[in-house]
Formats: sequence, structure tokens, C-alpha cells
Amino acid sequence: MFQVRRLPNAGTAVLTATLVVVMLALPALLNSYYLTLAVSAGLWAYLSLCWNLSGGYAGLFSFGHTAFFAAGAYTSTLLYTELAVSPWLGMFAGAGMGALLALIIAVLAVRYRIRGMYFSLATVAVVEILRPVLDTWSSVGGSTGILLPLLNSPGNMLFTQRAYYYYVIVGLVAVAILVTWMIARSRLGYYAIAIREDETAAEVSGVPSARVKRQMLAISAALTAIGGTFYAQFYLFIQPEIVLGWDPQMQMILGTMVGGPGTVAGPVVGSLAFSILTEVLQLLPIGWSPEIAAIVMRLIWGVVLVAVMLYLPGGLLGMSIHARKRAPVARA
Amino acid sequence: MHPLDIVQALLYGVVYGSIYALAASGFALTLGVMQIVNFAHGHFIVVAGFLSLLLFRLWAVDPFVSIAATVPLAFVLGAAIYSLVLKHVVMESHHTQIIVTLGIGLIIENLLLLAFGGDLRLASTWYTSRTLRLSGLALSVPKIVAAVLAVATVALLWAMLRYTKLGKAIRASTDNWQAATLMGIDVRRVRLYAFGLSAVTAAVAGSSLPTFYLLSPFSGIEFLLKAFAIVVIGGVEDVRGVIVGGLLLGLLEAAAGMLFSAALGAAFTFAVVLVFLAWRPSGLLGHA
Repeated sequence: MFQVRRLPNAGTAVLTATLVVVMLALPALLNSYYLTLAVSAGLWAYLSLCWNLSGGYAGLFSFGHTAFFAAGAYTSTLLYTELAVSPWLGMFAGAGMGALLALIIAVLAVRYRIRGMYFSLATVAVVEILRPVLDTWSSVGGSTGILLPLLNSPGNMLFTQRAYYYYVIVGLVAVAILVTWMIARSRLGYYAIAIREDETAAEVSGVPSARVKRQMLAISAALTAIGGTFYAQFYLFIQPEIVLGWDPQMQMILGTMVGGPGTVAGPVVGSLAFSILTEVLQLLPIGWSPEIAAIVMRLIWGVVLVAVMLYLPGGLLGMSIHARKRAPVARA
Repeated sequence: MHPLDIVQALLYGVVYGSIYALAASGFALTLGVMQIVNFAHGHFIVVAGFLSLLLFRLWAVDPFVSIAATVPLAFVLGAAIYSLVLKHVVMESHHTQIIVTLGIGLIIENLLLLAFGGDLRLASTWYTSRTLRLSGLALSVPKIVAAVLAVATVALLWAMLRYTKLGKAIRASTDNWQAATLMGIDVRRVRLYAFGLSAVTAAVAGSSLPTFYLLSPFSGIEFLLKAFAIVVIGGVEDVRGVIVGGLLLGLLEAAAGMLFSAALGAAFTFAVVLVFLAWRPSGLLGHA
């Protein structure tokens, strides 16, 4: 049966319009502390969206997206500090580097049939190789990392006002959502899902799995690399321990898996839920120091992760989508 | 470099390799028997290490002696985690299992952080800095004890899987759980015991670490990656694969540490893991 593509109805349009207005007006309402939080929440949502293209749609369960993240951060930052190339341009060079790295990984993974959890391990290995190499490579900052100047230079993606960073990351999230939405409705997206569900069956049915994997991983990596550039421009400091650390990788996976892998809005919902939970926890009048609050928060992440995987395997959004899909069948 | 230094470094490679083999044996057991990828296995090791540290601090119990306490505790905790959580994802995809066990690892790591803080810890026993002098070589006593214990434990595990009734039941359930069920084996109980056993090996490994190895609540991921690397090198189908993989990893690290810096040595090790993933995905001892 063909599904009739529904046009967005009036309710959705009003909701979207309200959301857009609120998002754009937010900097005027927030103080600088909450604006910083909003930017980091936005970056987390963006990175989850990027990972979702690979892990959620294509079933390429990468634990090495920090390698792409670092590729973006280091490429644009070095181009800026060494050659004075604006990060607005450097960001695309970084995306190219990320995509190139992803292509190499995808080609080798296909060639040597590295799949499933072995793909996860292979991508971890890439990060574990890159980190010590960058750590000991003194001409790119070594383990001390690279500092960016604190100045207001919009042409170089440097702002002294947080609101501008906020608008940049909101724009990036919008782009990532748009890309995901377009892929999800394209042949590439359907191919990717077919591979995720059963690679052999997809190949037998004529899905060019090697090409689809290459494309999905490369797109995901290019977008992740742009997130790396934004990270460097916002925090003004990059270091192998941080950009190639375990934390950003976990956050991408966490946000996606809890929100709903393989859905357009899932990664945003999941990562925002975690961001809000984290902030609420620090506001609770229990007298926890920020360190203790951070530990308790991560403890709760763990519990949420286990609970979601056991009781809502499709994530928060996956559940509602399944419920909606089943409804017409029940009526028929 | 003096030849004696090389011998010494390689000997330590064997020592660490034995300990890595023990650390990986439980990971390989659950992967082989139940097809469960346990990303919290490294954290199981660290928990046992911290329990031993606690016993040492409270009542000056020697960490190696504390194994008598951590092993039964690990069996019970492992069985509990299995029946509460992992039992429900036995038939799920590896991705689901990875996420669930990552969650368990996060819980363990942060409970340890709350209880002990994030510092690196060592149990300074009277023999911690003692060395055994042997024709020019100097070997740290706690490392030798830990390595011997590790080899003995892995050998015991191998013998148990081969000769005891439970071991045979575990192997039968690995080969074909449906047939095993038809033969009257309670596969669900076998899985529970196998997971408990896996936690027991983690406890022996963890409790032998604090006398010479700086442990922190964040060490879990490090041991997990080592276990994963060993399984890739040696294969999961036989305990002997873990021994081969562990020794190779230990020697590789020692050799790479001599040739490059310690940091680049780690990079080299993972490069070898990548080569194995491409060249022999089921490990040296696995079926091609």
C-alpha cells in the first residue's frame, strides 16, 4: 500500500511558527549563563543529529565520531591560527577532512566486512590511534592544545556576545534537521534503513550497500566536523583529551538512543531532555556541589539509558511513532 | 639499549599479558556463550579493585587475600545484574546490548566516583615496592603474584569448561542452545551461572590490581578496550584464544613502549587491532 504523503496541517504550521519565534527571541530573554547553557545544549543536539544519520539510520554504530569532530575542530582552527583563513571557510575544509576520513573508514569496513560491534570497535581504534598521535604532535599544539583569541570578529566566527553563537548553533541544528528530513524521505534513506534492518537481505534485493554506507557515513562525518569547528570557536580551546575524549561520543549516542534512533526529531528531544534534566538537577536545593551534581547527573543518565533500552527500545519518539503506525491497522 | 633491559621489558609484557588475558576471559565467556557484548566488563574489574582497596583501608586486608570476599560477591552481583537487566536483551541485537551495558557501566562508574572520588589509588602493602632479583633482572613482587594468579585462574576456567558438568553444559549451550535444551539442560540457568562466572574472573583480575596498578573509577573503559582487543586477536571460541591474545597484547605493548613512547605504543597496539579486524576477524584461534 502506498502511503499518501500528508501536507503539514494548520496545527503543525502554527506550532512550528511559534517554535521558530520563541527560538529566535530566546537570547533577549536569557541571561548569559542560560545562554551558554542553551548553546551547549544546541551543540549536543546538533551532534546527536549527526550521529543519528550513521548510527540511527544506517546502523553504522560508530564509536569514532569524535575523530570527525576533531578533524573539523583542528582543521579550521589550524587554518585560522596558521594561515588566517576564516573559520567560516575553514569549517568546509574541516567538513571535507571529516568526510575523507569517513570515506576511508567506510571503504575499508566494506572491503574487510567489518560490521556490527566490530565496526564499533574499529572506529574506537581510530580514535585511540589519533589521540596519542595528536598528543605527541607538538606543531599542532600537542597535549596542551590550541587556544583561540577572545575577540569580536564576526568574519572569523568569533563573538564576544553569546547571542551570536546561539544563532549560529540554532542555524546548524536547523540544517541538520533539514538534511535528516530530506535523507529520511529519499532513496538513500530507505536504502540505509534496509541495510540497518538486514544487510544481507538488502543486498540481495539490489541495495548498493557499499555506496550507501559510504555516503551516509561521509555526510554524517562532514556535519560532525562542522560541529567540531563550532566547538573550537565557542569554547576557544581544543585539546586531544577533550575533542577525542569519551564524553562527546557518549553524549551523541545517549541523546540519539534515548530520543529515538532513526527518527528526525528523536536526537533533539533526547539531548534536550538530558540538558534540561542536568540543569534542573543543579538547581535543586539539596546543596550539592557542582561536581557532585555532575556525578549524580551521569548516574541518572546511566539509569535512563538502561530503562529506555529495556522498556522503550525505540526511544521516546520511537514509541509514539510505532503507536501511530499500528493505529490504522487496528481500525481496518 | 642493553639486552637485559629488553628481556626485562618483554618479561613484563608476559606479566601484563597474563593479567590482560584474565581480564578478557570473562568478556570472551559471555560473548562466546551468550552472544552478549558486555561493555561494562571493565567496570566489573574496577569495582572489585575498589572493594579490595576499601577492605585494605578499613581492616588492612591484603588485596590478594580479599579475593576470598570479592569473588562470591561478584558472583552474586553478576547474577543479579544478569537477571534484572541482561536477561531481557539476550536475544536483542549487539547494538542494544552495547547501549544497555554502557548504561550499566555509567552507573557503576559514577557510584564509585560518589563513594571514592576520582583520584588514582594504590594499596601500599609491605611488598608493593619489593622486587625479586634474578640474574640482573628486577621483577616487582606484586606483579609476579598477580600474573601467576591470573594464569592459574584462566587455567582453572579452561579446566572447568572442559571437564565439569557445568562447563560441558555451558559449552553445549554455546554450540546449540536449542539442542542443549532438548537434552535437558536448563539453558537459562546455565546462562546465569556463566554470567556469574564471568563476573568472578573480573573480580580476581580486579582484586589483584590495587597492589601495583593505579586504579581510578574511570579505568573501566581502558580494561574493556583491552579485553575487546584480545578477543579480536585471539577469538572467542576457546579460552586458549584469550591466553594467546592476552600474551600477544602484553608483548606488543612492551615492544611498542620500547620502540616508541608509551603514548604512541598505545596507538600502535590499536593499529594492530585494526589489522587483525581486517585480516582475521575471528581471531588467531577462531575458524576462518
